[in-house]
Amino acid sequence: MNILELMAAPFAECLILVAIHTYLGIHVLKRRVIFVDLALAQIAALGTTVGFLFGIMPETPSALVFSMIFTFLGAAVFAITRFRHEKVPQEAVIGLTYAVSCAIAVLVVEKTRGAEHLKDILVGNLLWVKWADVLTAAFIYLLVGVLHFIFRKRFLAISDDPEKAYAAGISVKAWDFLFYLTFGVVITFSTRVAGVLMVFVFLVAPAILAFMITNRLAHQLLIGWGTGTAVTVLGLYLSWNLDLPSGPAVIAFYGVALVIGGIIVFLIRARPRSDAVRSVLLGGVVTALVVWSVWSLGRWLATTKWAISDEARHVEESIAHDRSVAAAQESEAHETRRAALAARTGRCVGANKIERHLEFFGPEEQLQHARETLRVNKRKGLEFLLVALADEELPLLYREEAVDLLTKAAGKSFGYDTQADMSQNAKAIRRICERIRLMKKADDD
Amino acid sequence: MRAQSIVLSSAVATAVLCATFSSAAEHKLNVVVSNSAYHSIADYIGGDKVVVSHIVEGNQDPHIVRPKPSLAVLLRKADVYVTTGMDLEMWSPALVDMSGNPRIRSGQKGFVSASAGLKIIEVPITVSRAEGDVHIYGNPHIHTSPLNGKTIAENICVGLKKNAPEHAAFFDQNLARFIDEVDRRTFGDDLVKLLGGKTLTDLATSGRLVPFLEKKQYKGRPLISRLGGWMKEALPLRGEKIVAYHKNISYFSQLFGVEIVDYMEPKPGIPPTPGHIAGVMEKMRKQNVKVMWAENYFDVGQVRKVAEKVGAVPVIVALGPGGQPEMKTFFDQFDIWIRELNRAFQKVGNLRAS
Repeated sequence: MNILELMAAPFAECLILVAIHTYLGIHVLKRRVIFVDLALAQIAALGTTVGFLFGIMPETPSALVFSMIFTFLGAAVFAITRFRHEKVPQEAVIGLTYAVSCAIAVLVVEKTRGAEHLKDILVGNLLWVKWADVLTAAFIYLLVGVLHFIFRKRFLAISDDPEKAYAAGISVKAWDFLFYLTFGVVITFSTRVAGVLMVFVFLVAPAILAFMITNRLAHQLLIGWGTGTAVTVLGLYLSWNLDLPSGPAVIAFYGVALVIGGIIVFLIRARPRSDAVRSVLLGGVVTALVVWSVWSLGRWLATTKWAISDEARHVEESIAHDRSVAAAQESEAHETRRAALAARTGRCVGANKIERHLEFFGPEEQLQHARETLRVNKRKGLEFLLVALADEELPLLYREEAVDLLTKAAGKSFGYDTQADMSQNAKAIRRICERIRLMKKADDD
Repeated sequence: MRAQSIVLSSAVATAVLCATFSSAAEHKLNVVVSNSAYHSIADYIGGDKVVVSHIVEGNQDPHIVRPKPSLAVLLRKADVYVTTGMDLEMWSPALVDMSGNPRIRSGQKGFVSASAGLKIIEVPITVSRAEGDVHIYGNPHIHTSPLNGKTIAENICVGLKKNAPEHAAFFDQNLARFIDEVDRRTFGDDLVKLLGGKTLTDLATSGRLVPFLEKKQYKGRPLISRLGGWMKEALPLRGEKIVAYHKNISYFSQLFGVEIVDYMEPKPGIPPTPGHIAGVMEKMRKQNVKVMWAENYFDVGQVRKVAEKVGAVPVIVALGPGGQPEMKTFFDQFDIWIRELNRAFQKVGNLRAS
């Protein structure tokens, strides 16, 4: 099993994700609608969930149709709510849309009793992507890319400077709708595989890095693609090497990469550089201190009684209670059985023999012991046989074996009937008792 | 005419009164259980004297429940509440608190812990949450062995008797019937007659049953030839290897001798990681493991993908009654699980032959 066999498809998926999302991410940053993808992704996921309500399984073409319809509706909402002179920032509408569609998804899932699939929507399943899915997504992304290339001037105009676009007489609402529509299509395909969180990171992180460094679109794209690919390769490799879930590993690694990239850019740009180096070092020391204090606080808190949850205490008590009840029941059952055996064997057998009989694991061992004892001491062996025959719990097979042994040892079965119950066999047991008493007397004499 | 109508109306009144009284006398015990397997057993023991409802369906993850108002309402009306009593239902205490029903708190008359008195397996030696959601008291998926069902039924019976002592004889009778049916369905009529359910259960849970039956003779032939029920149906599975998704069926695998060589989850409750899956696939190829098992609440797509890659047959089933169409009772679980495993291994055999 090698890294290629398992990771090739996820890796290819990551590459095409980087390609399209870096570009769209630059648009998103320019428009200052950072959370629009979270919202659209969640709306797409809501579509899948609602489809589930009709019995459409996720990951089927029908489910895709459903999430597409929902995405179109979402695109329309975002295009309509963009105003030339906005009083409420559009970001508020977007955030609200995200929260509401997320909540509705939870409600819908509750009705379908399939809550288990909900967390996949958030984290995705990058590791399990199939080649067929990668190829479909690549084809769709390519179409969107070509469309954006053809109309690049319009799209850039409304993202860069909408005021100028309005003034130039461009139909901003219509182009906005087209933008969100294509964006939504891409998001629908990406979230199916990578999950809401990862798509968000792919969209924003490379774009942020690019924005830090340059303002020229072509350079931004190159930087975004380059760093995106590098970070993804390293993140997937780490996921493989340290055996971590792939999606979260890549996401977390992006966070680290952004911090490191930011520091490097800061160091390069800063004048004088010595001040900058000092600030970075100070920041490092402070970070280390904070990490260390949180770590020691955590270690200390875990040992106090504040760290024990009510649930844990509750379970502990309930189990202790169960154990004591079970133990009491068992000893009571043992006691009843012992008393019953003592009564039925008419006290011609010693209490220690009854105790011994009860200690064995099952009838096989009980009879084995009786058989061995018979060879050494006939009377003692008969005593063990008697206890076994007087035991209600002795299974039929062993009852028959015991009667065979009895017949061999004493020459007769004393009228013991293996099919009959204890009260019917009481007489036979008394007769065996009588025989044992006689043998004892003979021994004593 | 008037006299007639008075007679009539008083007759109606009496009838209504009688109906009210008899419905009061026929008050049924409200039993709430945590999962659908306990539901099936509680139905059997309680019969028409109880109304049973469950919280976790057979195709849901028993570890997780989102508290809903309706659950609190359900528990508020409960006379008897049955949970595993281990740390499977960590959501349970919060739910009981929310319901504000003092009768079903642990230690009270209405509380039943289904696992009391059971021989629990896989009790961890060291406990750390870093090992996944380890169950610190051992494996709590107790309903996956038919024999455990007998103890669960006993515990439920005790709970019902405490809360409806007037029906004690009825419950006891149903319990005896249930235990007898489990024994017969597990070992077959012949062996139950010869050895009794208790001896068979002791041997089976200590892992000695099959070797014992092979050695022990009765009327000139080994007892194994008299084996029936699920144990017989599952004889071809004994010693066969599978890979499972989660540690759900340890009791099942212990009883029927199906060996689980590895799990899709690297640690219980922690989703599969690439390195771990690679290791599992490697192991499956090396040890020639050709059957995979997953409950239908997991991500079935993953299982199918791995199965496809290593040429294995996936078995996807529900964890409890109600989780798939034909699985309606506690007994159906084992019928279906064993049938599906046998089919999978037959398929593997056919593949190998061709």
